[in-house]
Amino acid sequence: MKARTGFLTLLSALAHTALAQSLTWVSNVPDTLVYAMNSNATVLVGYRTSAPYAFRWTRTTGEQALPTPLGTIAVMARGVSEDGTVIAGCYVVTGGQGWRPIVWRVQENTITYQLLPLPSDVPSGASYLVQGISGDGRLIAAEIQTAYGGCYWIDGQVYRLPPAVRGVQGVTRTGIIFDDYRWTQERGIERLPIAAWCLSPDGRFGAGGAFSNQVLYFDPCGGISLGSAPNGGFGGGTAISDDGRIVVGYQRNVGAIRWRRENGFLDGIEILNNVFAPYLGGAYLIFAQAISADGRYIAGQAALGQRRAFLLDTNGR
Amino acid sequence: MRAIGIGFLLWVSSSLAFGQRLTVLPVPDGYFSPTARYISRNGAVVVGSVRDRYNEYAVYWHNGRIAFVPNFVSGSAASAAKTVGGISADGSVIAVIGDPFGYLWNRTTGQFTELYPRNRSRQPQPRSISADGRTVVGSIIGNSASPAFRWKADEGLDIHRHFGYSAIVSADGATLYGTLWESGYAISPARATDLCGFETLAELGAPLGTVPVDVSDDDAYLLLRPSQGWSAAYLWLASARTTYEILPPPNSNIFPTSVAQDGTVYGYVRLDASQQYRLWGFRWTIASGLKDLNEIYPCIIPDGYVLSTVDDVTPDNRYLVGLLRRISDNAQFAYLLDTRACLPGDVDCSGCVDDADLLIVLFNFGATGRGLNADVNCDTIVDDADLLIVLFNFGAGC
Repeated sequence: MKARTGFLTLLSALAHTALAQSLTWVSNVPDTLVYAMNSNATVLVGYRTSAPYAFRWTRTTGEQALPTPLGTIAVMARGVSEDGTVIAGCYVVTGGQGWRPIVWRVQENTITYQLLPLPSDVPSGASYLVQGISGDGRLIAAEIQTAYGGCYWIDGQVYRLPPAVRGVQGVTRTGIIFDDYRWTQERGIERLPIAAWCLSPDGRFGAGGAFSNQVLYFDPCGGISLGSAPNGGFGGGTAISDDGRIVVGYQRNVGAIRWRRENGFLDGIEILNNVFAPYLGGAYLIFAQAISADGRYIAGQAALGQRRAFLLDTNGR
Repeated sequence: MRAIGIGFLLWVSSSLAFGQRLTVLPVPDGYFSPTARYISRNGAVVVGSVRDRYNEYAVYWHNGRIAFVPNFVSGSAASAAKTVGGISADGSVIAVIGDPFGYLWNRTTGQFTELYPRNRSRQPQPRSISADGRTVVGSIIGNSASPAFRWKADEGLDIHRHFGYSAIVSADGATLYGTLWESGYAISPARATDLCGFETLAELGAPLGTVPVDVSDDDAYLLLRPSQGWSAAYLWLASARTTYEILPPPNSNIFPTSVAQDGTVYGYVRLDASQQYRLWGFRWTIASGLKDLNEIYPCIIPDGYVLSTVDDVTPDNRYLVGLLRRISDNAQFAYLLDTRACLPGDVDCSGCVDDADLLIVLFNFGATGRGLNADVNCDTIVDDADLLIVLFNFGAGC
């Protein structure tokens, strides 16, 4: 009987552990951040802001450094395909002329990279800020800085976005390129109610920020301000769940934030450092940059002595 | 002053159900400037406010007695009941405009319901309530504006995505009526069945730049006013997609407040914008146009008083509430007017012309002035003529 009771206690403890919220440091390198994840948060990519270092993280392999061209002085991994085998980003080399697009491919335990061609009508000095990759890994989009609009690559071939496009903010898993518009080859440019920093895969929901310290949101009903966390400061929504009901992001004075539709439009913004304080071990979530399709997993950058990339399992909280 | 005394007497005798009778609603000693803002659809409860030297207090009248609406207190949250934003059909649920936030109070159960407990620094204020008391709409200091909100008993509060400022709700709680605003200007009145969509009423014949004031219980009539100024009122007929314009006399402003089930409109007219006390309550119908209630009910308005506003009406047109002004000193009284017509000679309006009616005339024999119950023929004197009317009809209805 005593042994059985002990077994049940163990099961209970395991169940409790499995259900608990948890913070995982996904990089051991300081000054790293997670920029993107696949839909179930099994593959994360990110980079270091203070040195040329980009990484991929999976639950099985842990942190893996991404190779870079010789002479790279800065690199960013900015998007990952659903299966985690194609990663898009950009890099700068010594003596180079701005950011250049790069794609990493993962085969077995080997990671290789491929440099992408540039559009012929853009001056050579322009920078290409890669903003994401579609779920199938075939489409990559970049904003060409400055004032040259945007471009995209399909299966490695480069194309220009329509001239009306002044910038690119991201690419959804379904291949919608967006900013203050959403664009697909089939539908062309469709203006959005706000300048979106993130967009749901179906293109119906998005979030962003405004200089009035307001977090902005839109849905098929139109655009709306979600307001601000108390004394939140500048910030916005940077990632959105597939159903558009959860937005994560940051505000300068309070760090990572989250908004849930169920909380309504008036005061739905939560300060994640408060909500998850018992599970952070003293860490401070600086910003959230990526979210899983169901909104359960949130990733970004946190600080505990040094700044590092994190993955938070909210587990329904 | 005598008339006021009669008013109190009538309240005490309220079980007699006097008809076509003006009742001054009592105010406790030390309080003044009462308002009667809403009446329950069954006519049983009137809600409004009174003032003392420093504050305004939400009150209700029931069975001839006045009572204060209690302040909201829950933990560290407190809100003072200032005035009212509506009342349910049966008079049980009162929507309270509070300081700092609005709430609901169930008069029957004593239960308080905070409209928006999530952020107590917000100030949601109710403006309209459904018949069952389970849906409330109003305005709230929102994130970047003052949006209209809807609160539902099962869903809580959220804002309407397109209606600015305030809105009203239909009796069944299913439809919101509000206004689309653009850069501070009212574009069009609109209705909505959810918090996202809307249907502009301008395309359906409603005037541009207007704001909903009240809606009849079956949604057939929508009362509107201009978003700026008080130059006209409008009655929009939903089925006919037609609007009637209600104009005040020259150099006057019109303040529509309520519409009954049959489309009769009530409110008040300010005769001269510079003379705030020159108000008179009106009734407007499509057939008869604008009428001064003081002329419609000359017999029941006491000498020296003016029925200056109508603030609400029951759907059946029977009960009106509003303000009565004493001309001599501009003192303000809240009233309840029961417009039900009685049998000739049925002085107490009991449905039967009997000894009681006879006695009322005899006890008041010789009295003069307006607003006398016993003055059956309304010639400002209780005399033989009144006695004869009672006698000729003696036994009728019994």
